[in-house]
Amino acid sequence: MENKNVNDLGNIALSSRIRLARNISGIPFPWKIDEDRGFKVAEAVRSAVTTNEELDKYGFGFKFVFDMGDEEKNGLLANHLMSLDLIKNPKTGGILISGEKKVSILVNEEDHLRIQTLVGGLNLEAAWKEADFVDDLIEENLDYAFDGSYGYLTACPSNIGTGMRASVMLHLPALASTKYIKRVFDISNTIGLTVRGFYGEGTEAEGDIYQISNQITTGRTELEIIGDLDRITRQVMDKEGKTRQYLMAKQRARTEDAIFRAWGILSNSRLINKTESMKLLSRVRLGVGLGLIKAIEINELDILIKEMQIMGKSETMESAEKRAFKIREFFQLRR
Amino acid sequence: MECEICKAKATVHITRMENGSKREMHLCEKCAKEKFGFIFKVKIPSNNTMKGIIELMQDESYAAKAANDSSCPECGMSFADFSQTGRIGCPDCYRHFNERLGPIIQRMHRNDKHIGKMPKKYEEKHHLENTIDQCRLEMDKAVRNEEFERAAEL
Repeated sequence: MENKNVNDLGNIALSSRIRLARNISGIPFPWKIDEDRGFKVAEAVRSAVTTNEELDKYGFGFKFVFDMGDEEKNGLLANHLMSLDLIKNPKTGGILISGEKKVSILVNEEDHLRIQTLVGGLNLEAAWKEADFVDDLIEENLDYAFDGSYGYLTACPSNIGTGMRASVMLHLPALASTKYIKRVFDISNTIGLTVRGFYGEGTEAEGDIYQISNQITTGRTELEIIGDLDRITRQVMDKEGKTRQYLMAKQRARTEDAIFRAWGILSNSRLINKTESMKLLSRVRLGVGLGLIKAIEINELDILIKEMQIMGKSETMESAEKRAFKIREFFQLRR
Repeated sequence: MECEICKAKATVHITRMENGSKREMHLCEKCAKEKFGFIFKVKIPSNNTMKGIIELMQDESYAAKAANDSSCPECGMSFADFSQTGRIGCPDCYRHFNERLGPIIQRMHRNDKHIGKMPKKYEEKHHLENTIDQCRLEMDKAVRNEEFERAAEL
């Protein structure tokens, strides 16, 4: 069988993201201000975004965290439009989301503003251009806290300078099964990058999905930081591709067995917990990437994986049954 | 490794240049203190996560400095607060605690000078200031060279 999808960049890289931390000059950071000032910050940001004509095309809508239901919050979390830290500020935390849900601006999270852009696959430059553009327009109506030497001033010094965190989400099932993944972690650390689980700092790499991002935010330009991240990401993706090829060449029966067994369990189970579902979905995704499973489109599978994330971690009999039903339904339609 | 003086466990490792050649010394904390009168205790965070920053802040030397520190006049945050939370109170804290924050930022990012994007407003102001400075320098030069017409023009 031809492994033409093995090195397909879109298949290994799920998404690229840029986040810019910005604060308003002369106002303490969100954790240090009272509710009244917090609302004033939220209003200033909302108005700076919604009154800018050039930002009209994004169709930004504003919502406070306290106006959102759990399902909405989980949905935004799964799509990385929102963060757990924002939920921790239910009083004055808010979010502006573009109509296409590709750009979001978190208000009163750790910093007054967090501008986030999201694009599919590995395309950090496109995500940066978008964030840079939105940032320039917001700045027309707000005075950012900026120092000639330190750069953009942030609530945590780990974000100072560019205030930029660039990250790429990668599906690395083949590498995760080898010791090389540890080397990726180590090498990344030495050059100022970091590898984490799906939802950032401190989270597990469920479903073999890893996030590589920059740790160093100052002393380099945004494009230099992105360039480094892009280069390392391509090397990791290349290694993942080669490991997939190796698995198919040297351990074909074992690899195919793991993939088709996973497909079998997911198509037939009546109860399944989140950890098992993510593990098996990762194997099926590998099967699709290797061209072994043709009945499933990778984009559709990625939506299912996100839905499984949204369903949360609660492990009741009811949630396990609901999860199994949803997965079964997906697979039965794609035989 | 044993301490070269008292044979206790060596925890301080020093490299010195003596008469043009490199000499390594391995000492226990007590002997190092006696011999040199001080010890640098610097923990470098493995990565600049909040945990790493707090660990760095809680290093004795920083904690001692923080104890007799004044609060930020803008937001009231003390350096001790920062040591506890790893978070800065307001943009002005960076100016107020500049001396202490500078080395921390340097260690965290291996650099502390921003060379990336800057707000357009800042860039314009900065450009204007540079132009005025440049003009002033040229004017001084013209006066020194007794080119008074040129100075008046400037």
